[in-house]
Amino acid sequence: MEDCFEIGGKTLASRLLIGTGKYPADGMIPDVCGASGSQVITVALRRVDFASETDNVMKHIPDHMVLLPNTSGARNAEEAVRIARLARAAGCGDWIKIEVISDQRYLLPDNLETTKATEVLAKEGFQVFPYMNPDLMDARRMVDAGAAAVMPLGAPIGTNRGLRTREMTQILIDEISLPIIVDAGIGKPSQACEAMEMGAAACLVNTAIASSSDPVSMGRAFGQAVTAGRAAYLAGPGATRTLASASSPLTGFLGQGRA
Amino acid sequence: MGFFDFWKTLDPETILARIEASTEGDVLAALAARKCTSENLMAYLSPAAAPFIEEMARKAHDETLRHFGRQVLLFTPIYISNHCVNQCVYCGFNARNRIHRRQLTLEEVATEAEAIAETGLKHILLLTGEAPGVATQEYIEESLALLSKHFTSIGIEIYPVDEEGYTRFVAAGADSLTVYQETYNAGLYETLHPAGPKRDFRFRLEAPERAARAKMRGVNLGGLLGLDNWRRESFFTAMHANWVMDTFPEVELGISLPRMRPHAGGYEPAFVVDDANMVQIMTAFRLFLPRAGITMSTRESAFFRDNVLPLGVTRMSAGVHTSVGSHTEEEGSGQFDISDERSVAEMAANLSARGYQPVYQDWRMV
Amino acid sequence: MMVNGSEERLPGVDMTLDAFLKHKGIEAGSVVVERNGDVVERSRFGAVLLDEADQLEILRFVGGGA
Repeated sequence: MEDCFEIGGKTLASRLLIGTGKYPADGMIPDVCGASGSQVITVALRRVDFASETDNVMKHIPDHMVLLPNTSGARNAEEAVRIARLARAAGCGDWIKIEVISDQRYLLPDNLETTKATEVLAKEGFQVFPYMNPDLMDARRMVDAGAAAVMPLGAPIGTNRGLRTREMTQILIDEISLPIIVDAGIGKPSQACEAMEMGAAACLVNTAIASSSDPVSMGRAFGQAVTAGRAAYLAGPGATRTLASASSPLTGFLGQGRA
Repeated sequence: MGFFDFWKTLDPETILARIEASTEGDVLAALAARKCTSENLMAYLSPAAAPFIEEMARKAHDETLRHFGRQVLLFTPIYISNHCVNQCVYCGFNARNRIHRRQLTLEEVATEAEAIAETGLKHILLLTGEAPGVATQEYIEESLALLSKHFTSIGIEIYPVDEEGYTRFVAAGADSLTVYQETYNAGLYETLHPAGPKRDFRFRLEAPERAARAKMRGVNLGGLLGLDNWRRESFFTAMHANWVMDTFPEVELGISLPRMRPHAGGYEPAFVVDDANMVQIMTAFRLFLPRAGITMSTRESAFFRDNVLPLGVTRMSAGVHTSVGSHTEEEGSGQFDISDERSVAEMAANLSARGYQPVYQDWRMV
Repeated sequence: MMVNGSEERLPGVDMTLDAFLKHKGIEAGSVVVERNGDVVERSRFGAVLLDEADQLEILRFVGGGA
């Protein structure tokens, strides 16, 4: 049976989402898209720099890719909402990843502001993907606010430290009915595989691919890792039996005494 | 969406069939699973799990140690009225039973409360039959106020009321609601309750969520084991408990395993639930709901209660009398016969001897 | 007027947003514009007349964020 990834009103074949930041050359992006199999790519919104001749990243994003603009730069809900509305005006769809970061040291997201922005934007018809620090109560609030998914960080942005938030992320996967997309901190394909084996719906990987010495190959590896992890999750773990010790059985009393 | 809507999606025949069709492989998969799913629970409740009871017990023991340590909360029930208009075929208080009907005056409630408080207990469960015209909500509220003077945690096991009623009970001092659905099998439920307001299956089923909305702190559920196939009954009980936990995450959830016992009416339970079955049910509950409390009442013998301690019991009644006014007077007609007649002091000593700490007060409202 | 935080002279009278972007060498389809706090629909670039007191934010998608 086909494993369909339904999210934000679309059906996708790949559970790997990628980014556009930190590439040595934006020209690599189409090859990374192809090699990784990813169908969703994030972009940021910035002021046009009139002084320099900067290339338009949009020229490098293949037409079939679904755009997931992010609100990077926003330090509070109001700014995130403003960026989201502008992003939508570009006419590339109504998906928006909410990134509200007022912590410049670690780039950790502000869950409270993120929830506020989620509520406003969901009411305006956006498909909202909030990036958050995994906390069950906050995730529940984001669900109630109308999010399309929840995106817990695996580790702080850019650290490539893997699933440092494993326990909390696992709780979200267990308890939240929306797709859980592990975002940030995934440094190796094995970590993306692990996130999928845990039951995550998808992974978003940017730094690990873009900063690799061979982004196209690394993109391919991540695509394969996400596929493998998902297949393993669906297949279910094999049964291992723990042998009960013979001393003092807990149920030895059954069969003695009165019924 | 209330629990009734979820309950409607569970077909009792299909569920029993799936439980009974579980294989040894399914049980092994459940024992290996990181988190117990509903499918795993079905395997745990199946005939195929019988040879694995020791393993289930070990796993349940580990879970219990981690979540509850070696502590057991002691409490006792106080029956303040056995008037009842229902005719539940299995119950000693059945309106058609010729028993002495008694309702304590508020003065008598106070006297009983004092006697119970002397034993050191701080948790109490207040019970009535279903006779709202006699044991009125006002009477219950006044009794709660009296009990509040002596006890820091008061549960109620009374006829279902509306949300407004539960709000008033909470204000009067109730912090937990015990309501057993008896059976989640609606067809069987109808035949077991030929007359009286208890016939309203849905109103009873939705009592826990009304209480939760009324800010009742704790809710205790259970099916009366023996009425219907216990495998199915336990599955539905667990589904109800799980739903309440999901919908009201702040509510403290407890499960009981009341097993049918002889009583004045003489109802013969349709299904036999032996000790091994009880252990299977209890460990399955513990594994599916690691943080739910499990109550073992004095319907069970001292021998059985003592031996299932390591398997997940977190609350036990002690010094129990199920007739009205019987903490101070002669034993009257009880709701069910007690098997474990040990007093609070005896229970406490027994627990300590077995390496468990008896707890009298878990918390108090300030 | 203010454009992306810097002061700029309006290059001419009766200048539409569309014409202004052309003047700056920017492809209208590659940017989004916020004028005095409001998002301007792309379809209206040719209709909106700029004013000396306007505050414009002209933005485009770039690689990055996370």
